[in-house]
Amino acid sequence: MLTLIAKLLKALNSDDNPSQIALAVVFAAFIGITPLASPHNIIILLIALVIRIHLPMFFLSVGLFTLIAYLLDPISHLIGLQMLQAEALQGLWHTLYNSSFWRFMAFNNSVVLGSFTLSVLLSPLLFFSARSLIVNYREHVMTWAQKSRIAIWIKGSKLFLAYAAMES
Amino acid sequence: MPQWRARGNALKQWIRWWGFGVFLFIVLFWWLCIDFIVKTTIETVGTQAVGAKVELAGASVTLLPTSLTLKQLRITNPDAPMQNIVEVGNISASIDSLELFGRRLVINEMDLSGLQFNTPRKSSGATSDRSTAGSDESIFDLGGVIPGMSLPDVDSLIEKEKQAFLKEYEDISNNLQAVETGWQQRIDGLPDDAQIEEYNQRWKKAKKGNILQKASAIKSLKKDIDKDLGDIKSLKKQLAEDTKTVKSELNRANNLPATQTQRILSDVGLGSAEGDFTSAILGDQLKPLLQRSLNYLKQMSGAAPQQPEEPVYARGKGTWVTFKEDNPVPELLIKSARLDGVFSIAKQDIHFTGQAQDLSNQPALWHKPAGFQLKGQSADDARLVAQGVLDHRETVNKDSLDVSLESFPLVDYAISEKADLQIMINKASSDFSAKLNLEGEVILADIKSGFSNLELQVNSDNPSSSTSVISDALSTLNAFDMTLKVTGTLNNPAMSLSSDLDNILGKALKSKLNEQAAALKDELTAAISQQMSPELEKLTQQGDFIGQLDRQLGNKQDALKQLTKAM
Repeated sequence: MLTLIAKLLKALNSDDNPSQIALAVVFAAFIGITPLASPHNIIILLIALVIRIHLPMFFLSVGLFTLIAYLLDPISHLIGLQMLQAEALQGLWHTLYNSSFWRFMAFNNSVVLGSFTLSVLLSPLLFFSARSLIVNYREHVMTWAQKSRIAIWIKGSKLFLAYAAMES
Repeated sequence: MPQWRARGNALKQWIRWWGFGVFLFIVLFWWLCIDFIVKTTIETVGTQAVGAKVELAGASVTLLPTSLTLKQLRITNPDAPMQNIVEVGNISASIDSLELFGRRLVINEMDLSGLQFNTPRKSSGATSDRSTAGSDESIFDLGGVIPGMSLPDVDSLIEKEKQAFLKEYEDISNNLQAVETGWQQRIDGLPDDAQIEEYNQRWKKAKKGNILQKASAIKSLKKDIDKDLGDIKSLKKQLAEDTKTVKSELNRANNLPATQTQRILSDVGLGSAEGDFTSAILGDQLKPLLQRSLNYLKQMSGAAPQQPEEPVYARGKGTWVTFKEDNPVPELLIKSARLDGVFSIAKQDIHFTGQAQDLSNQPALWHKPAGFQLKGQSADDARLVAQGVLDHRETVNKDSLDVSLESFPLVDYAISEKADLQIMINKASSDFSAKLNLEGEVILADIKSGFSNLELQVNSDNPSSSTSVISDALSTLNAFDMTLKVTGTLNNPAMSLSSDLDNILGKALKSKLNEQAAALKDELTAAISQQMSPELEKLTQQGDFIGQLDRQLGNKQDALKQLTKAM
């Protein structure tokens, strides 16, 4: 866990693409908010592994979103149920229900559909806000922190130099 | 840098090719664990559903063709945790992969081999969250059917029945008293000696008057006397009727010892020898068997047709909303299953083979009812044929079952384990057939069994004359039939058990009972007559008043007639 956090801090402080880190948060939201055993998560996991997103941020965020999912569960259920019972969508659901693929995807489960919809709705917001936070962090907080006395003192310490040598 | 190389670098910046490898590794790892996952899932879900341990020695899943093989499936009987309700050696099923993709388990063909029922377990299969209390509903009332098992003491019987005798005595006495009191009042209403004297005085006085006065007085006097004579005449008619009543009551009193004797004999079971002996003798053995069968039927009929249900929300699981299907298929469907296994009946094994079709958890979604056919044979050539249809597609379930077991040899099989009467079939050949129809809750079952080449052994912990009679009768018995009919509903069944045993035992008991009853009857009658003679004497005296009444009425009538004659 500490290694994961260290890697995360390193990523935040590195030149890694902020979009890749933000995308990791988005994919983590899908896996964390929707029920873990849902079939669509296999596809999300494949994408998360193949697309060069920041994996430590991804795994850390999955844990965080899993905790949030417990609180969001009743809301996800309500959204899903409303959608599944919406008169205007009955034709669509009927078609999907008669398709083996969509039944396998468990679209007719209120929590699966609701949480997936919630994830889709949240994903642009999560992506742009995470990206903006990283950019702003690097521009302001990281620059300020690097120039601070304590950072200069830490960087000058033998322990840090040994760590840096080991890292390199 | 060439454009294609720049594009390649951009792709490399976004694609992590080794990610495919990691994903494939995860999938491969999952696939390698699938057998374990299936085994654990079946055990966990099965245990939750049954309420007792469900165990599996192994599971194997193949992808092409999609099939599932389960080895050594053991399902504990939740009501008897040291017993498996069913044990299957091997289950192999070919699964419709397309339907599986649509979250439906459709098994085109299934082989269940090594089926066994009620096998013993080495360790308890109880789960901590379930009590194993069995159902103990009484379905047979067998009390008071077997005749008295021993001859009782006469004095104690009379002592016990004295109250009943005294009640009878009081009843007769009260009836006589009521008649006597009524007559007392009527007699008081008739002219007494003073009145007759007054009539005489009036006659004497009239004789002294002139002719007109005389005629008037005679007319008035005659009118009064005629009225009294009329009253006496009607009272005489009444008296004739009351005399009959009194005679009948006195007869009743005289017969009291005899009737009381008969009543006592009946009470102790020596009155007659007609009864439902089969129920009384075999009921204890049949009761648990029938109870278990009814419980199975209840469970079977409990699989009611699927009705549309309101979605229920469970946290983390959500609700599954269903929609109309163009080609509805149940969530679980076994189109065809081949069965083979062993039924253990009365310590003997019957190896059977058979088929079951169209078994489903949502029968209303399938166009055919579930059914099965079984054929079996034992080492001793007993033959079993069973077939059934379980039609749960409509609102009211319609189930039918037809079972026959022919030439089944019974050896050392206890049919009664009562303390008073233990009956063991040492050897017999039995035939058994059962037809059962269940429509909703309404049950109609006709179960017939016949036993031939019979050798019975009868014992008793408390031997009595009756048990020895039954023992004698049964020891010469070579064959008997038995029919059990069940009607009513599953929750309130009415059962009747009949057998030619009733007749056979009835006859045997009757002759013995007659012999015993005759001796006891004489003894009882003499004893009652002796002990109750003062009361009976009183009743006879009480009845004497009726003769005196007749004389009284006659005297008054004679006196009045003489007076009229004189006039």
